Amino acid sequence: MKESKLWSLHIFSGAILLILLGIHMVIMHFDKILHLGDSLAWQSVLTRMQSTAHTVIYLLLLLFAVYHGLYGVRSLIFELNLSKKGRGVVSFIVVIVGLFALIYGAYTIITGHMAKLS
Amino acid sequence: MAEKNLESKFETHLKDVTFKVLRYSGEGDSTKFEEYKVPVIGGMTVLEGLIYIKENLDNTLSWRASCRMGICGSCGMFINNFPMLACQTQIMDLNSDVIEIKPMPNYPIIKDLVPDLTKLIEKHKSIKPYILRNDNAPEEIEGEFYQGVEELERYEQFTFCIKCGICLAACPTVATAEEFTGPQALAQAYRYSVDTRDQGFDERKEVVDNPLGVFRCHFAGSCSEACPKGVDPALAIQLLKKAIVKDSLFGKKLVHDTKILPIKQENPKKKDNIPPAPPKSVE
Repeated sequence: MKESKLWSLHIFSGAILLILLGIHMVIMHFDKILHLGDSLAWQSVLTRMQSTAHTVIYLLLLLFAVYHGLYGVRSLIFELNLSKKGRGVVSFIVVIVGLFALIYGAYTIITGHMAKLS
Repeated sequence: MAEKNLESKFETHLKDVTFKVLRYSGEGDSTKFEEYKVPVIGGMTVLEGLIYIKENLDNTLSWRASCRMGICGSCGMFINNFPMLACQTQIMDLNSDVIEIKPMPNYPIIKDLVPDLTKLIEKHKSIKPYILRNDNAPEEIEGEFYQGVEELERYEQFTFCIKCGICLAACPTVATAEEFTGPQALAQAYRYSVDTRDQGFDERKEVVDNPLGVFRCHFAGSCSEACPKGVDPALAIQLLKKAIVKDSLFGKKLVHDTKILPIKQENPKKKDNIPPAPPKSVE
């Protein structure tokens, strides 16, 4: 993929992260101020995990955070003046790490959503 | 007689300034500073100071200069830790009794203050800095390209580039990534791509749409601050980035539908008061 598309996705994911991380921050850290109950209580965690809306939000958060973070890491490593081959190897490793993080993270979120807990 | 003239010229000099010049023999030796005392007269430039040294104190000192009026872009140097044209920098404006002069950073050094600008020229050539046409070569088109004032203003300031290489010397990204295309070439890529006579955006995009091209710029803005001609390469880079992203994501290309106007006077009548051209002196 052309660098312009990867870079645009990086900027786009950053903008989406502002919203998704905002939601995450409000739920997790403003719970007392907004009287949402104790966010870290077992029942609250369970309710969020079983909620479809929260599951979708966390899947999206995972997707965009992984892309945004790993593109940033790739750019930082590219600053080391790698050869074209070196840049290819780094991009390959970044894709593998990203796929692993996505699959493992999605598995965790979806398992929590599907689990029959009470 | 000449010596007498020189003496009288510097008789009323304002003050003595020490030129601390970084010397390098060009044969792999280490560099060292050498100091020269230069009598400064009003309006004297750093280049004139160097000429004074060469003529009167040390004829082994090397630098590159040509026009002495900020047009040729030959005399870029690192003067008091800022890249500047020596011919445009007046000594009194530096407000210092000691002027430290080093060759421009981010370039290999040939000798003393002479940088090797090969990389600059190669990068410049890589973006095809000329009008590209899909249909015919510009010289084969019969007629005149119509270009409005607004269309000209889109790229006009970037045509002031004199290829002095000062922007690359100022650029912190070039300092850490030698292969980065650099502000000069990127600004010229934008300058030609946005020119309504040009149709070469796609060709130039191939060169600059990569991790060492337009997306490597950290937008420090040093290039624009240092440019002795007032060009704003940092702006050109951002505009080029915008054009490339628009093309990549939305397929909105920088394609110009240039109007070609026919030449009005097919058989222009010669005015009577114009004398005939002199005969050719060279065949």
